[in-house]
Amino acid sequence: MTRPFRNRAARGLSLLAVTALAAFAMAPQIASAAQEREKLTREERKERERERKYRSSIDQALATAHKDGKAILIVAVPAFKHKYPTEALIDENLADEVTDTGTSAAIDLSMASEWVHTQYPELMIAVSQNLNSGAIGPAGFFYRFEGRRRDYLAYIVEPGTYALRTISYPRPRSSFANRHGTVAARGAGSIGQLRQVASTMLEAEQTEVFLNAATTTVAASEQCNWWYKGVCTQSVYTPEHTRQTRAAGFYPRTDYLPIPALDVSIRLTGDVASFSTGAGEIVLIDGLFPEPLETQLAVSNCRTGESMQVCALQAIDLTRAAGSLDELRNYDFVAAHFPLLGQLVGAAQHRPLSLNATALGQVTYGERFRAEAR
Amino acid sequence: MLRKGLAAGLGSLALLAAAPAQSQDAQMAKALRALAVPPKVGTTPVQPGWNVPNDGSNRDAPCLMSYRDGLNLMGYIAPTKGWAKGYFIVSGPSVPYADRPTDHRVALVTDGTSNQTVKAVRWPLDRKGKQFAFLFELTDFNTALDVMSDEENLAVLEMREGQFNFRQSLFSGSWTGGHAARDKLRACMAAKA
Repeated sequence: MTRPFRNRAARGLSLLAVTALAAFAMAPQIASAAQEREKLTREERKERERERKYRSSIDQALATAHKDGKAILIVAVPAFKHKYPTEALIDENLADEVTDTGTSAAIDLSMASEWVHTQYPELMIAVSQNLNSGAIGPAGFFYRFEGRRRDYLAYIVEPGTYALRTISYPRPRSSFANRHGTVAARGAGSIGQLRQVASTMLEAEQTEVFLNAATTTVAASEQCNWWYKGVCTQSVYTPEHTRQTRAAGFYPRTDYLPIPALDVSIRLTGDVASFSTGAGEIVLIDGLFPEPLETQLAVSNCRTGESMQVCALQAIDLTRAAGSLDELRNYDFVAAHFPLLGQLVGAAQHRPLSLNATALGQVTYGERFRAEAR
Repeated sequence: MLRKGLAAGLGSLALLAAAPAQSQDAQMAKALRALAVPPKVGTTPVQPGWNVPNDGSNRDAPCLMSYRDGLNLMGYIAPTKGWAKGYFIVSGPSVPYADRPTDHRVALVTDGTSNQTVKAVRWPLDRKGKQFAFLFELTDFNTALDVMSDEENLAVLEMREGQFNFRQSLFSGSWTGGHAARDKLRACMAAKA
């Protein structure tokens, strides 16, 4: 197994010795792996504690704002995880399934609706899965609660009336020539403006590529195993050998391909949708959003530049996602570290949106309406 | 109107230089913070959405005007003590993060015109580092103001070529009522001249 000094005849067995040595050498590594696990656990504990403190601070901020006469607004939006239950489904639907399955996580993640205070236009809220107050300040949601079919976004707002003014979203695999569905306008007037910017998005393409087996050659080596009074009395010799580092076969690969896309901004100047809140109220409102792959629009007077098109907007379809007070109240706020908000939600009212639109019927994620110039 | 505005105004932008010199950074950061501060709730703006905080009476503060289009911000900073050139800026949630001022190659896009590829400087807009802006140096600020449109639609596209960045939309916004705000800005500049 081992040989005193250089006994080449023992080469055949020396690998076993190396294995034994390796096992010995591994011992500290196993210990350090255990320490690493312990460290990770401590890190996880710290992270959980940070998250608890963070949530408690938001809970306190919401309660303090309510006490100071602000309104707490909770907006229902379609539950993202209900639509895309797994990470894989999100990736798969990020952009490239947009024309195949009628879903696009890129649109659902990035769509933003801006509701502006009618008296003080500098006050607004941005309803979006992505825009929290940490990212954009008080216009963003302070926390998102995940329900079964709806997510609930909580905001602190000044009392008053808020009107829907802007909706923006990306539209993958689209160009000016291949865009929204269009309907005939009922009237000649407009309810706002449609601005589209021809840009590019990256589409993740999952493929499998065949890779040959990969090997690495480990050079021969000799290592002292037993030192005695400064003299190596036993050494281990390892001959040159080849080790496989990868088996031949198909391996997953992600390629990012640029695809044409539109950056869509809809500015509403007409009175399409609004809601009001009073001082100290806890108000739940329904979400209101277009479903771009099925959205019907009526436009006119388009001006088209190299990469931008601006049109008068005459009609647009919007879907109302109804919120549920029961679902909201049944949420375990204490477990989520929002006990103060849980108490406030007990007094929440479901405030219907004031809609200047025609009901078209139920669709998968709510009830569809058409707002149009008359 | 903007088509005319861009023809000349962005002609100025096409002559963009790099970021302001290092010694001017603090002043520029101060000006940007002033630009980003929304008007106080309840104050009557010169035009809805526009904010011209200095009428010229504050001699230490730069003359500037800004327009809030929802989460987007656009504005002009006039030449002032410390730098001779003016700046046009855009900011919004799609402007990517930058931990320090960096040069950026972008295309300015409007309706009815060809895109113009120019150099901009990406800069943190606020002290907290949550908002970022593109600064476009205007070599002839007065000309840029002369041709500024009362209504504008503007977008910025990424023009750096790379695996993960090419022609993405970095900003898309619009303003109305720009001329009334411009008059106020000119009044500020005249008062400080």
